Amino acid sequence: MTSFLQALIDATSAGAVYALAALGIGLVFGVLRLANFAYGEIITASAYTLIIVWPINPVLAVLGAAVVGVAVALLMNYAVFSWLRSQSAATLLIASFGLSILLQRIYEGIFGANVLSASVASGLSTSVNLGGVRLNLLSVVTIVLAAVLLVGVQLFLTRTSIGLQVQAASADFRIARLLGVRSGLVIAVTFAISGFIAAAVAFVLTVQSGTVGPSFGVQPTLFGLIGAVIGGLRNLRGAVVGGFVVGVALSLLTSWLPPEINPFRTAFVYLLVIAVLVLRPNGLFSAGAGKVRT
Amino acid sequence: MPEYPTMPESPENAATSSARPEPILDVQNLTVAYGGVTAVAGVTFHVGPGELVGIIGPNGAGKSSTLLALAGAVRGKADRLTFEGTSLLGRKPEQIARSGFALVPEGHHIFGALSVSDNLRLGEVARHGKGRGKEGLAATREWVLELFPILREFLGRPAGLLSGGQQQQLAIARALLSEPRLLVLDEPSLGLSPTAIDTVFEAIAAVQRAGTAVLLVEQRAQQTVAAAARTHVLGEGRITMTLGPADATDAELLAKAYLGS
Amino acid sequence: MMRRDRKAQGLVPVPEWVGDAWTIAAPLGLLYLVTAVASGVSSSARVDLGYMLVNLVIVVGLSIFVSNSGVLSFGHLAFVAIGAWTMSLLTIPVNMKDSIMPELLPVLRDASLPPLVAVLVAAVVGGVVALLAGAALMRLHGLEAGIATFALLMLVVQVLTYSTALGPRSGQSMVGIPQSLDLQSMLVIALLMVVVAWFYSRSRSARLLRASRDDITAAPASGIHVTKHRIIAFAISGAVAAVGGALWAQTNRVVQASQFNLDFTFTTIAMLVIGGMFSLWGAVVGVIVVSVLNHVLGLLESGLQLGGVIVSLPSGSRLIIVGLVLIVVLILRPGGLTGGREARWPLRPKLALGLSRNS
Repeated sequence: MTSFLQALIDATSAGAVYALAALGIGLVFGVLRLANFAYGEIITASAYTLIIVWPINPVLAVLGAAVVGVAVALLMNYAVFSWLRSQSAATLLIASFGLSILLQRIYEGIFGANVLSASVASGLSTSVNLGGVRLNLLSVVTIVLAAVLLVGVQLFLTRTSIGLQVQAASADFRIARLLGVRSGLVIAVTFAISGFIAAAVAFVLTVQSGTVGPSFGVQPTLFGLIGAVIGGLRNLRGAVVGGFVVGVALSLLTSWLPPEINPFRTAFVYLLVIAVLVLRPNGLFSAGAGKVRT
Repeated sequence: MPEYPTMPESPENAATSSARPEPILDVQNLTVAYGGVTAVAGVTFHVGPGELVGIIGPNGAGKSSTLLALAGAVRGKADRLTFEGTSLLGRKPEQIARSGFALVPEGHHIFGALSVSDNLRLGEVARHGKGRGKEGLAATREWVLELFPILREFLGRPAGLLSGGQQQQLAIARALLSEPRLLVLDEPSLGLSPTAIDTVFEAIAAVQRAGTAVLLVEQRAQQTVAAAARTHVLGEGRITMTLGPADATDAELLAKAYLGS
Repeated sequence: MMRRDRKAQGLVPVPEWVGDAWTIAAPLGLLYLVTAVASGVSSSARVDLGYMLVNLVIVVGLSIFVSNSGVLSFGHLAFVAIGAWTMSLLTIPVNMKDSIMPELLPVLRDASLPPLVAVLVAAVVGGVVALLAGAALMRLHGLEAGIATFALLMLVVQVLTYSTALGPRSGQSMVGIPQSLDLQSMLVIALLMVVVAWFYSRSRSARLLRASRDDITAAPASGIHVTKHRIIAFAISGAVAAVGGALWAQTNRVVQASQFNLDFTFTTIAMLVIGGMFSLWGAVVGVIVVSVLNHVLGLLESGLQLGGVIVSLPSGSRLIIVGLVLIVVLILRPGGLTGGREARWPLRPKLALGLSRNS
């Protein structure tokens, strides 16, 4: 029973990480129709900042990671994607794929191909005993952090004027512009928020692993993107839930698959992804006859 | 030479009321082409301050393309295309919207997932930076909700749940919240019930009475010609005829105008 | 379109068959020419040439699906991996297999075929897997199709990584693949694959598929069974990609599942997109341009003597530059270098061919 609870909390925490990644990707997709494959390299940039600066000053490291995440996201927007705004979603995806590979090599050139290590927030790696259940403190912190960010983004989208404009632009960019919504501003704000969320993902993952390499962000982005697609990229809530489901599935398969087929857990997740896409091509949580936009 | 109504209550009009006022919208030789296909082939017209001008014509005559070009949503070419003396050519749709030009596009396009009140708040985006401040905004909100009382009842509801006629009212209300000096409507009566059409036309008349110029694109020829100071008939991308309010009763002329004879 | 152009320019029209023949003669000729020149340049050029021919087959395979269906696939390396696997298992000597893959299925352990037959088997296996996968996936389009094909690649890679019944333990590679195809035979196979792609693109099935390419929502309404023709394209494309995989195993001679990764996926997609996603000519031009660029950058990375100074680039700059080129091409020329057209007969005014993108 207690191990079940532990596994559940760990799964929720894994789900929370991918839900955050899916949120960051889904926000940008909403306004730009860009499934940003290079989202991982924003995460990686923040992770490098954390690993390098943490031994010097933890507070500075956290602030720096957030600033770097936002800056890299904005840089991507202005240097690459703002030139491609009128292109198809496929073109944008290919460009982001190219950008992802390019940035990985640049990181490799700057920081080397090997991983850098530092123990970031090692205090969080301990377990706490809560009524007989040993809980990984980091799992709890991850869940809380994800919850705070999800609520924060929700409040931003519904309570602020610019958030409302982001929603309008996601629903129908052309009409939003006719109402005076500034396209450049809305896109930049969305990128900035997605960069901030990437920094949060980087924080959780660097505490977990204590290392960062050039392709650090690829895995969470891949699963976040996959989750967002199976949840329905056209609907932010669906995307977030999709990311969560992928994380939970990965974590539970890891704990429960018998050892002889455990190595195939990722294969199972991909099989699941294919099954979901084939059975629900518009996403698990699409409201049936959702408006198809390509 | 058409006559412009004078509007003494508005200071900018008072200054020019003796002479012929500058048109608020001046369109000279506008052309719009998509790829190789010409949709608008040299259209010239103007809208004076506080005036209601109509454009009618069959589907595919270039009405929507004309409006979209004015609003900056599609690229057009023109000898002159000015709104309040400033050229609209090459400007972004959001810049044009923020300069006091409000377009209610065909099919109204409200944000169905957002509440009625959020839709209205989005209308206020283009109002940004106007001098009239908070009290001005409150007054505008009040005025708009009086114009469309049904919206007040449904403020908290998702806009997608409104009927077609109510959604059209919401779209017009949303545009009015930007406090435009020119309201441009693309076929507001399309797909509405006769009662809803009456409501929409009454609202348009009220907007004009309040001093806002209106450019009304319609398929309902008779009602438009009756309401507008001038109604231009568009056919195959050109203005083929211009009618005055007196022509509204001439069924034969309207039919001819419409069918393009 | 074509007729009007000629009339407007008042020129004697080139017979249609000349323009038609040129769409296959140009890629074949260019490929032959580049191979002939490169094989004479240096031994390092010959090595890169081998990889170029491999990539050409892979990218032509990819383009058979992408250029005709208009749907992006991020998963074609799955078929390349399958082709490489098939080739390796069928050509590595049995005693070698015993030592590196002790748990291999008996039937795979005992199978041994001559290299050219193995290439053929690779094509069949790749085609069959693509047919089955296509039957499941081809109703999808846009981003969903991209993610689904990518998931397929990951699935195949995961299975090949961890299944000891099909290959070595995870982290180990298959070695001992005899080198039995020289550059000449690779070139012949590559030319053959271009011909296959060309003949396919002129088939009724491919024409119907292209008719649906620009407007996915319109074609089913006009009575075209898009899904069926997409599955056909996917299967042929998977078979050709698997041939590419077989050649890759031959060329690289060390095969491991982790090699079919994002970098490799990126290289093939970059080649296709830089050349132009929507034509066979684009695929061929893209592979050649990127391969030549890669070769030159490779020389620079290892330090190149240029008139007394040694120019050298940090290692890893290859992918950075290819990535930059890809992004710049997408911004300035989204149709790729060829603009998505087939090769055009150069001696006469423009011939708009059936293969070119409708615009």
